[in-house]
Amino acid sequence: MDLQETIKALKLPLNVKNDLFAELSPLQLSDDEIDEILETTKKVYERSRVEPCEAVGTIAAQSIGEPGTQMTMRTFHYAGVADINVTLGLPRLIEIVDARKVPDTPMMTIYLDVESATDRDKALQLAWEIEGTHVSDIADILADTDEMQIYLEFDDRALQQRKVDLDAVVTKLETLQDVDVRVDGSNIVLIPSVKRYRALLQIVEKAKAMVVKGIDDIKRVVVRKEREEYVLYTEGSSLKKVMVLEHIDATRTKTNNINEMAEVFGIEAARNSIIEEAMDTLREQGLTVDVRHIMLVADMMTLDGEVKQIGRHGIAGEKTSVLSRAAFEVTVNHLLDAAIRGETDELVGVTENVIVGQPILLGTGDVRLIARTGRE
Amino acid sequence: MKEVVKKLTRYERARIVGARALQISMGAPTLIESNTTDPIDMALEELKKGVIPITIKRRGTPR
Amino acid sequence: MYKKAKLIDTVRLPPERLGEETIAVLKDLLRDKLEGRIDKMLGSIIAVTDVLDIGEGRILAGDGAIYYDVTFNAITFKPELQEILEGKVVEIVEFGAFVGLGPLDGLLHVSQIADDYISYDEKNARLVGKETGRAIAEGDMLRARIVAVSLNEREPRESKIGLTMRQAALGKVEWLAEARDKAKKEEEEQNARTSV
Repeated sequence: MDLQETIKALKLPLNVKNDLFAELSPLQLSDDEIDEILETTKKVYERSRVEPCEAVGTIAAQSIGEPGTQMTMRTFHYAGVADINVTLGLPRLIEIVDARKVPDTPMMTIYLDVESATDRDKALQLAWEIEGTHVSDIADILADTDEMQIYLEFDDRALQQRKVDLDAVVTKLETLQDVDVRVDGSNIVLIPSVKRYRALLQIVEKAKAMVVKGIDDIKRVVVRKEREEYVLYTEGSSLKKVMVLEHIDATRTKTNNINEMAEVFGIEAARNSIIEEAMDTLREQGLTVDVRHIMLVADMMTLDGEVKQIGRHGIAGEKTSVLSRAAFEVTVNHLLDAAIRGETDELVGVTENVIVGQPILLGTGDVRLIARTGRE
Repeated sequence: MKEVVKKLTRYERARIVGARALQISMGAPTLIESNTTDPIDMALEELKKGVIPITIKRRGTPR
Repeated sequence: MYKKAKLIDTVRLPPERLGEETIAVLKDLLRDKLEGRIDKMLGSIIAVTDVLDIGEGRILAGDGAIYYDVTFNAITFKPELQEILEGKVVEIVEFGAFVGLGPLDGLLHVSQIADDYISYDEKNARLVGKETGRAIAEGDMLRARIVAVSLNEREPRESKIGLTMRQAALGKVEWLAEARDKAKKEEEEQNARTSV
């Protein structure tokens, strides 16, 4: 019988079937050998499946919790990109499951489209385009307290490198209030209308922080060659603004901010992002956790269509059972509120039944036995 | 009614053997001839022979 | 009032009786459990007559027994207020007479026997009316009305039923027969007089 047909007829997931076919087709094997391999595959697959009544949540919690005790408490530099500082280890893992609105160190990974991916110049150009350029990056700012004026001395090389147009800078600066802007060759002079020392310094600060090019939130961009293509790593994250740029591969570009992923790409992307970020964090620490545990966590966090944290303000806080919520955190408040509202606990979950001392609906506790005596 | 024989999960197996062993230890008549005096071994033997008068109602099946 | 009732109750079938015929065992166990018991709603359960359905036997964690929800027919007796009953006097005491009403006894207090002064005749164990000379002794058949019911589920013997005979057409059955005869005679006399 045809190998493809035989594999197709098996009761296995599509991925496993595809792998089987890819591995077996180049080998010249006898029918018996193939049968044996397929039998073993089936057995191993059956064994790897979770049995009904298995306490998957508890096992997932243990499987993530134990390696968690071995993780570092400190933030480290990102292994490959020396310039970018990224939260790693336990703080990062906590950040992920807490579903923080903004992570400690937001970071984007930007891929380029097929035609630009191998072009170093295009990658660098894009990097300058993205990196937020402030006035202070391209000019020395001097405050003259005698004349009550501010001199901006522009660095020609920086201007050229970053492809910043002086006229554009002037228009930007003109948006400052109570300031007269005068161009003097390659320098700019700011003359405040109010001649006061404090006002002068305020204007200096404002001018320094002014973004003349690029994206405000992105402090730095690092270009790195990975295999054949150039990839941009950014310190700071602003997916929406990056997505609209040219020469960007929108299908692979991502951020480590899970909420931003959910906002820009949708909840499924956020789920994948949780899985990937958590697995990467664990892997970086040299820990291996079965991806299915992480998937369960990611599923729980995203199943309502929005990213919820695992904790008092998320999954644990939204449980219907009063006792279960009370068992987690702020016990008295939950019991008091429930008493005021006259809530009922249906005792369907695990925690509630442990509390009241009943068999739980897991494992052998979830098997209903019926006697076969009497009428058949 | 046709009975669908499905593989027992390990929890179902444990529960059946446990319940049957308890019955035997509490004085229920055994259903096989056996040399053993241990109720658990006896229950296991009965399970192997498929004579335990206990069925399982899985979740999802109507009451 | 006696009633035939269709009831459902959970019965524990202990493992040592697993070898026996299930329905017979369950009926046996039901009898042991229920017969002679008093229930606020049903009254006294007298007999379990037949088992209709035993349902599915559930096996619970930590117990080798099987629990069945058994549907069965039973005969019950519940004393209802204002109900008129006949019963035999089972005992005479100073304060009245105890009347057997089937599974339960009722108390007929001395004040509730008749519109007469009733005194206790200790020697003969009788209650005698001063004016009429009528007496009640053990074994007499009485017709009485229930005026008070207090059932005790936990202690069936502590249940109390209060009776009265101080109403028309109540009393010892002999008195009622006398009254009937007398009424008949009077009616005949009346008829004879009018025809004349």
